[in-house]
Amino acid sequence: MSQTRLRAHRPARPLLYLMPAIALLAIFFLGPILVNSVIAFTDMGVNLRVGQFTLLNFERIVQRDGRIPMVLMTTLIYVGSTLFLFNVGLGALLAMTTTAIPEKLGNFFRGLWLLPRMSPAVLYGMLWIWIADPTPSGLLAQVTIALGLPTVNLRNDYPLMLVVLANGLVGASFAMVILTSSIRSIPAHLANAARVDGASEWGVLRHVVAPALSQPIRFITIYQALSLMTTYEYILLITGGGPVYDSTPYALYIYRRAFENGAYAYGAALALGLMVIGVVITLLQWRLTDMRSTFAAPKIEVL
Amino acid sequence: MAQITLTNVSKSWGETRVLKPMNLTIEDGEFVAILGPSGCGKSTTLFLLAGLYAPSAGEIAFDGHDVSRVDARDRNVGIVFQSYALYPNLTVRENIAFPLRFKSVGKPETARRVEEAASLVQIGALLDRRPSQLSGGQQQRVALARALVKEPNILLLDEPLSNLDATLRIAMRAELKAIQKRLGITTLIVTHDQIEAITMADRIICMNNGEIAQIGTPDDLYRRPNNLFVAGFIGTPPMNRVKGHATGRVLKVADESFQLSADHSGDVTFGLRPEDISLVAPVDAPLSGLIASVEPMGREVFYTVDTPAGPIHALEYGETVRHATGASVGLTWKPELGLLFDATGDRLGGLHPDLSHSADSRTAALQPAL
Repeated sequence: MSQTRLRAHRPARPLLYLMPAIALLAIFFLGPILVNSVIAFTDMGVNLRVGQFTLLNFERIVQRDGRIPMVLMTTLIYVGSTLFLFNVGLGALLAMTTTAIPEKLGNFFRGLWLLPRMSPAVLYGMLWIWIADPTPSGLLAQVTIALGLPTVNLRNDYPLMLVVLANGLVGASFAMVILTSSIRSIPAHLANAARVDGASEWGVLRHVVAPALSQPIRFITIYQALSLMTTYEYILLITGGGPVYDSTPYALYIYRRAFENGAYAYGAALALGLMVIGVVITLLQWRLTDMRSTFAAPKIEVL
Repeated sequence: MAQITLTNVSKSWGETRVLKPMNLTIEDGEFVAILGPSGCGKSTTLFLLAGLYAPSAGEIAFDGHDVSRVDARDRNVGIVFQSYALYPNLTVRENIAFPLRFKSVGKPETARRVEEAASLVQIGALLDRRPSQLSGGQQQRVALARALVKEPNILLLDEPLSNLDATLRIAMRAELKAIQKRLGITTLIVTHDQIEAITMADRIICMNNGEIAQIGTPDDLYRRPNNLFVAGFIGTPPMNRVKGHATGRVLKVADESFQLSADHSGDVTFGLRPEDISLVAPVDAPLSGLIASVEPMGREVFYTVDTPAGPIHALEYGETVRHATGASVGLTWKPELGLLFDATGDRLGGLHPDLSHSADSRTAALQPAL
């Protein structure tokens, strides 16, 4: 016993272990926000030169940019319909149906739905362009011709619907995976108890499955809403935001203003606006859905 | 309240037969335990009665009406699951009221019946809590109230006490039995715990390998087991079982021979409960040996005796240890308490070995046993 010294528990050094994460956050998250915020108050263009510090960009957003109301409307329709119809609705439907069928078949279907997420965005975009192509080589055109129906040009006539479809079919797999595991974690006897208590299969879905999904759906809603508001790669690839600005949501509008029109400073100011919208929506949802209650106590004691 | 009849009911999952054709009648108001080791098909039987499984063949009838193809929700059964299966998002009140949502029961009536069921199981003060805020015992009471609130025809209990601590289990045992008697509701309890079955049930269905090994009162199963399985499963410590061979009226066990009360020929197993054995002086005892181990257990002392017939367990009541390890003792018992089972394991009714040695083995018996 004389050689072995009993060492008292030493508190961990959280700062040391968190350093890599903090550094990454600072360089790739806080840094850009800071740079963006500064640029937003300048007149920077493609030559990257700052002539003066000004509030003109914000004045332009609020008063002079006539496209803003339409872009906001497009964003609302795009985010709202993609989110509720596909990213949550279809995802939940897929989770429920693929867990109700035999396990192997369910796994197969879920794997199938994950495929577009794994394929490169450009390839996926090309696929949709081919589907929507109005010439006789397009997939939809081939179907309409075979059925003797008039040809529709989706990219031109229904661009927003097309981007909602393209984004939604990829986006649904996120909720599908999360909700599948939520459904699997419901104790089997809970459904049996409901059946014995008089519930039909719909009743089981409503009283046992739905309550178990409400918490993860809250998380998916908030997460996917933010992600839909800020990403635009499929839209850029499939419709380019057009015709004109018909399928341009806010995030793509920022890109087009900044890089198509060369108005860097104006783009930065718009981006700042998107950030404010994102923070407001997050805080609102946090408040409305009591997200804190979903937090679990840590499993290990560090400090 | 209902009488339950099972006619040739069997259940298979694909190729695997989990329940062999079963015939059974449970009387109205009876409290019956289904007892058996895990995997014997006892829970399957319960879920068949609940309507959660459909029988592969045969007919299940409540009060003479065939319910084999009736959905669980239309059978009006109450069930308490081992895990309690309370709805986590509902309060205790809502949990208990849940079955009434699917019946045309008005709000005041629902409130009254919930209060009634809650007070029956003494959880009136917990109605506004959520299941996660309750202890295991309280959750179990909520599950029982939920099962009783719809005034079911039959009450099914799937190992309801196995998740409770020992003290609570004993208390709940008595309480369940009292509630059952008060409501007079036909009740089936599935358990692997023989004490639970023996203390609570009017009759026990002892199951093994997907079939009924014996149905009877607790006393039937304990004193008159139909076969070796029941004899070995019921009773702790288990019955002593010794292999032997019978020829005519002579039973040979190891080197000893005993006189049989009737003729029998073939391999047999002789069974004797440890508490039916008295330890006496080796002289004149039908079997003798050396004490191999002594385990004082408070109210009784548990001895293991090495005999020519193998190790025999004996229980002596009282806390005094009267024999030390290594001591030579004789074993004796009332002849009618010794049971004989044939080669297939079925009990040979009315056949007992006499304690006096058979005449033709007199010389063998005169020699010291060890």
